[in-house]
Amino acid sequence: MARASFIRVEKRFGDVVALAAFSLEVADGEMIAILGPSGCGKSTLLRLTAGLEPLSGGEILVDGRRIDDVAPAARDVAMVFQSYALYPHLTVARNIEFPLRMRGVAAAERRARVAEVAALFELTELLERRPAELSGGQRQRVALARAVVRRPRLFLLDEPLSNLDARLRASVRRYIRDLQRRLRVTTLYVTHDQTEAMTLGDRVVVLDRGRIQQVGTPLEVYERPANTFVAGFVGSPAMNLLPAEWAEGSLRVGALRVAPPPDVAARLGATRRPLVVGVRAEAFGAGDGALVAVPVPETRELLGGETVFRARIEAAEVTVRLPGVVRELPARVGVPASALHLFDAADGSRLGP
Amino acid sequence: MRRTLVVVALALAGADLVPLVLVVKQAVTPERESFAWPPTWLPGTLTAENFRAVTAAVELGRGFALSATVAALTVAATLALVLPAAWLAARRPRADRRLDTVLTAARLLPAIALAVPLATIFVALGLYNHPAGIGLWLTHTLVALPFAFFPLRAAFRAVPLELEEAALLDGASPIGAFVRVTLPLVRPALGAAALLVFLVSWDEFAYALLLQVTHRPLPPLLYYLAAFGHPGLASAVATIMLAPAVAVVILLEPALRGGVLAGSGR
Repeated sequence: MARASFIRVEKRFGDVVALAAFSLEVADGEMIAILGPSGCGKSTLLRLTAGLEPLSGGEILVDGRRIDDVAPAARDVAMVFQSYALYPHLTVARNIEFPLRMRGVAAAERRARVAEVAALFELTELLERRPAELSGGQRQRVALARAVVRRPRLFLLDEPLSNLDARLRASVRRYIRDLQRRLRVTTLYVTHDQTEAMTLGDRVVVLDRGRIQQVGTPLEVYERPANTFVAGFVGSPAMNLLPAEWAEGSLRVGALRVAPPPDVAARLGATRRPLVVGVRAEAFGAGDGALVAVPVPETRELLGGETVFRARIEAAEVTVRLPGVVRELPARVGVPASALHLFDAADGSRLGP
Repeated sequence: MRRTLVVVALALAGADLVPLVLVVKQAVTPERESFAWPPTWLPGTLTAENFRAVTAAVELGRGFALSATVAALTVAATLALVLPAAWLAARRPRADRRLDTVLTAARLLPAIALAVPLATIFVALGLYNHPAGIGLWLTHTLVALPFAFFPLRAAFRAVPLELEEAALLDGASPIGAFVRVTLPLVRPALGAAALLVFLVSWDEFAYALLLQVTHRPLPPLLYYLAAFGHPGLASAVATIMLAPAVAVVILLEPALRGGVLAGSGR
């Protein structure tokens, strides 16, 4: 149980910057989801925190004490690897017991702690088996049990669900959430799956190409994406991004006039500039709004609870999601001003609230 | 396909076993019968005469002890050197390139050409023709290095790096991680390497002949008996040499079984 601080942490491999100026304060017992595509630096961040790679710059502190110059064994950080990394020659009991044994915990206490976490993870029946005799879900639980048995100060999870099939994934996700709440271990959870990040994280850190794009609660990241990358990465389907232009006090998407949010209009002034208008698929409704378009329908997916259309508005391909069963895309769709997101086309950054 | 494989396997086994059977047969048959015409496949009379005669003719016990000592020390020294080297090679590409070059080059040098300078060095050090075979042991270790290095490097490469990293995070020291996690996982290769190295030393002939001129291990002993016209006695020595080799194979067989790595991951 600990606070963690990352102060301008940096990692370079030769000329390649894997992680740049990563600064983050993690509260005691908080679960942070690190979200990003592969190669964004999220696994690097875990490896730096665990001490498996040296930092190129910056500092990592736990409870105010630097840990980035300490050997991995001395950091009291536990990690669940994507591949689980169970010791294949040891039984489940010996796997779970391994960190305790390495720390010189007495045999009687070791047995008690193993029995305790085995019960917690429903592994009691499997203690004498070897990893090869377990299913994927069971191995996953052994990996978690081994990580929490010694009550680490910091808990690192590297895409722990990516090897499970879809159904198991949802249940293990809930399980991890409950577990983390119950144990109150400060946790960094790395994933490329935005559903995992949104459901598990107290806060989400979106990373791309080694740089933080946004830090916020799942809702903040969803409702107010800081830039076009976050807008396109978080949410399923991705936010529709329509090329637009601000000129002479009016906003246009192609030939379409869009009523901009009033404070944005004031801020943009008279300068002519290219913008991007973002619209969530579910923000469309039949009829009026700040943006009203006549979409050209392309495909339709009836999902029962909702209907997803692919359509064309001006030059852009958009996704429109309407509740319930809708046979045909309305002739006119509209988006309210409050659901419009504006971004600067030059650097992708968010404009306005 | 299946049948072809079986035929090939039988042919190979036959090619190996027929000379073995013949040498053992010759060892337990009186010399006269061994050279009878037409030759016989099975011994007509069994005799321990060759074994008795060979003990009387040469210092068989000493030769056996010398060969066994040198082989055991060679196994110990080779593994002690190769374990860290092979691990390093498996984990660090730069170290790997160097070790690979050196050990491959070492294998290319002809033994006979090396024996003479080695003998000169050992004379200066007092290790030439050493009663405990120290010079020969050092030489055999040098010869055996690649035999242990290549299989062990392959085995270390097969151990996921993440297992060692997990052990470090679980609180193990780097050496602790190696001993408790990596080493048990390369056990089959370790067994195979030990076996190979033992056999390399046990039947190595050229250095044994040239470096141990009077304190002779078994291969030169056998050679002298055969060269000086005692095929029965030579066969007896050959049979004696087979016994420990077979014993070592049987002893190490459980370790050679694979499959230790299954189950670490998904």
